[in-house]
Amino acid sequence: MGRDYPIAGIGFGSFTWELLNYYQLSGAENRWFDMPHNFYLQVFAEMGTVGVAVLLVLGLAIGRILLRPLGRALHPMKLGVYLGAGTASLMSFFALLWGPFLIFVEYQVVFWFALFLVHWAGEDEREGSRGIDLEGVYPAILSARSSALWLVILAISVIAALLSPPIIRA
Amino acid sequence: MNLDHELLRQRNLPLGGILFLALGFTLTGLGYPFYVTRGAGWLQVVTAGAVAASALLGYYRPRIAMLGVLFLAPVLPIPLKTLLGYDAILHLYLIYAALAGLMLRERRRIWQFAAGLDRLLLWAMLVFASLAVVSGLIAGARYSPTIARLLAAGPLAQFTRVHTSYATVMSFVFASMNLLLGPLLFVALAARRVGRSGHGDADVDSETDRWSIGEAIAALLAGACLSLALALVQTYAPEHGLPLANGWPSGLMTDATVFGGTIALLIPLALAVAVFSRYRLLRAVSIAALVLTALITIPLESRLMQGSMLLSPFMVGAGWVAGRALRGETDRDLWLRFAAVTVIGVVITLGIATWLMPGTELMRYVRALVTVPQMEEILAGGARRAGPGSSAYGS
Repeated sequence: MGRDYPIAGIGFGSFTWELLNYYQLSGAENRWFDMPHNFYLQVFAEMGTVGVAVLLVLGLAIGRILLRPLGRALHPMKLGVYLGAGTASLMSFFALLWGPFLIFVEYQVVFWFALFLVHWAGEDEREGSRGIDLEGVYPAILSARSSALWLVILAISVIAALLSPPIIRA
Repeated sequence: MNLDHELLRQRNLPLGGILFLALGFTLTGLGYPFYVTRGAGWLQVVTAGAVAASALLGYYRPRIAMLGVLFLAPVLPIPLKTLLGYDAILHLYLIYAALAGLMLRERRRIWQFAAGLDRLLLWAMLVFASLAVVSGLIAGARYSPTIARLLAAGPLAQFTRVHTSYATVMSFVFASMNLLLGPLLFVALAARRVGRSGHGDADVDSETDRWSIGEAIAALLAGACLSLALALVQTYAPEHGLPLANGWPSGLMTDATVFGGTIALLIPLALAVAVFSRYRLLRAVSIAALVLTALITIPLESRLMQGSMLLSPFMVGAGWVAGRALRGETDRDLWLRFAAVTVIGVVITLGIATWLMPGTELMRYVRALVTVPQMEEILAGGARRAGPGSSAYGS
């Protein structure tokens, strides 16, 4: 699928359905699998190189959060939470090599909660207590350049998806 | 109303309520995998509905709704999807409703938090989530029979991938929404932190904040305990002549699965050592063993528990309890909370043990109580399901 739809993929959530067509086209006898059992491959098949690129950026950002507490003197309780949640988060990235777990609600809730705890443990006390003026919040979240890049990525994905050919039925 | 509200604001109520629910779920499922019991399934539906309604109506504090969502999220999918079919997504509606209520109430804090969040993370979350939604919606549209009919005569006719079921189309919408749930939860949780850290919220303080996080951990632990129990029961189901709920052949169940499940149940014991031992060295060794267990177990656990990310709460709980234990903060609150979680673990373990020893009178009695006449049909339906959706959205 990734080869056939390299830019935008087959469409998020489509893998399971289109796999039947690919089974028919290839004449495969073993049809037990309905998932690639690898989250990264699944993102590539469903969201193409655009999706994989954004996923890499997301991984990089998560990695920064995981590394942030290193070198800081943490409260013992926060250190404990950091060790536990950090280990869990790190292992999740390995676990994703064996399954598409992040599309399951129950797993992603756990994943993001663990990540939040890492974020909390590594947070500078002063960061949490600062006041933020709500005036001009949006520019503080995303700069004009970031917003433009966001829209460009979405546009590439949409155009590529609209122009992609339909599956040839067996 | 005011009196009720004051009662509901007592600190121990959320945790007590959650533990009560956990016990209720466990007892109704005792001795039998309750994902095939109609009564327990509907009990969970009602509970989830109550949580969602409470969040939307604002009767409880949002924290309670959040904890309810945390607890229910790992537990609900298995029984409901098997009970109502793999396309049954009622629990998702409820979880989304609860989160929506929470997010609406906390929108000011969410904006405040977002302004202070790691920019790269926020940007990547937004782009990835929006990309998934757009991609999912386009894919859904391409399968839509209505759009296919509309475009049939025009130049865009080739755009569609004709499919006959609207359930298929909806599955794309919900697949996209699924992916949003986790990041939303992350932002909601962190936003509460910001709101509590110095913006004049009179009824919360740093101590309450610690409670909130502790309660969330306890809720996740309880939910994970139940999920693990279900996973273990499912592992042993074929040995006792029961087909698996999701239609997988029993040959797919591996030794590694049983091993991982056993390890998962042993982790609370290691936690107990970390908390109760009087010796710092033993506590430290126990903590190291917990981390090592995660490193070994999680990559192995890729089949039944789907990568064992459900073990994550155990590690979070281990870290949290260990941190307090190392600091010597083994006060009454910690003991009570830990004892409550341990009690749930014991009840679940007893339930599994009862299941593993069929033939006892208790077992037969409990089975007769919780089994519905249509169970065989449900199981047969589950066994027949294969192909799309058979494991995509099931356990």
